[in-house]
Amino acid sequence: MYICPMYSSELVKGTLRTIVLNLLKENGRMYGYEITQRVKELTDDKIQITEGALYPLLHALEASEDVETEVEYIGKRQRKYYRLTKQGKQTSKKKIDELREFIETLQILLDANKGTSHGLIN
Amino acid sequence: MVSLTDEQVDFIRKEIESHGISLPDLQANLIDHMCTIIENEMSENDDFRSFFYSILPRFFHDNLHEIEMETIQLIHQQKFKHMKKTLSYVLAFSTFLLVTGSLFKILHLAGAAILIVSSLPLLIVGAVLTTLISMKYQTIPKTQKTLTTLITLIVFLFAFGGIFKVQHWPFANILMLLSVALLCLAYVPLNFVHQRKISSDTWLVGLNSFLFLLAGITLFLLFDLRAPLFP
Repeated sequence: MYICPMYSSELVKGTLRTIVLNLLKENGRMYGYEITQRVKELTDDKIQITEGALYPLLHALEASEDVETEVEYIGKRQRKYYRLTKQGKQTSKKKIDELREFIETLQILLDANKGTSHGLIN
Repeated sequence: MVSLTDEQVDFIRKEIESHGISLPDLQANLIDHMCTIIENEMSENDDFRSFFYSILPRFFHDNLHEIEMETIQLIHQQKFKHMKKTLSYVLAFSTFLLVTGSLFKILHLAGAAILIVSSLPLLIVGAVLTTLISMKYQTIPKTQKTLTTLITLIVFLFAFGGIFKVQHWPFANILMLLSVALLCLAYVPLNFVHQRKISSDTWLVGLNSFLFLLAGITLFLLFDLRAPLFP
């Protein structure tokens, strides 16, 4: 799903939808290439979204009416811009909150394990 | 930054088509994405075709068609979710009608029969559609799909036959006989062959088929064969 020069794909699997929804929330409207470049830029190349993962997701988001599209013509080719719908904004908020909460819970879990292991050593 | 000519865009379009991408929206996205990569990354000294073939593998693991397959699968999952949601409302409504009808019946209130009889077809159609849609969008073996579809059809015919019978409507007998015939002559043999292939316990497979056949024969014996099949 991802090419992750730094992180294993298992680690970030399942977060692509949230990443894309959040980018659309922050940037208004974006097209496919722009999304991949923005992720690379923001993460210093640590996470790179592949086209093979991005486009199926964008089409699924369109089918679920979380995003709507605008087409612009550049010569003979079409460029599709994606934008969050009203429903998409709610979905995005829900997904981002869910991920933040998960990260916090994970942090608690990792810190607790750290404490336990210290206890064992001491 | 280079600018692509219309001929070069057409070349990319043909290449994408020849790699099995047929969805127009996906085609348009991939053409634009490839064109943008080429415009941003290709130098003026590079050969267009060689550069195009060098960036193509970025889009897939084995072949480009897998993007279309994954897109279709995700869209299907989305549709499946929508359909399941709608059907759950139908099932909840028909259950509500059935429960209300039953309460009316117990309390000897008017309208009980209408509520019960109108809830049953909704309940049956809802259940059958849920099963068939689940079959379509889930990845289960083809033989299993055929068998489940067949038994769903049998249950559908039998249940409707039962409703017709209670209401003294025509074609009740033919519906019920057809369902029993399908059970004994199609489902039981097909299921037996399928189970023999996947199960090592022949005795259990035989017993299972025998019980199905027994149920079919018992139902068949309950019919009054002297009654006319058609009104």
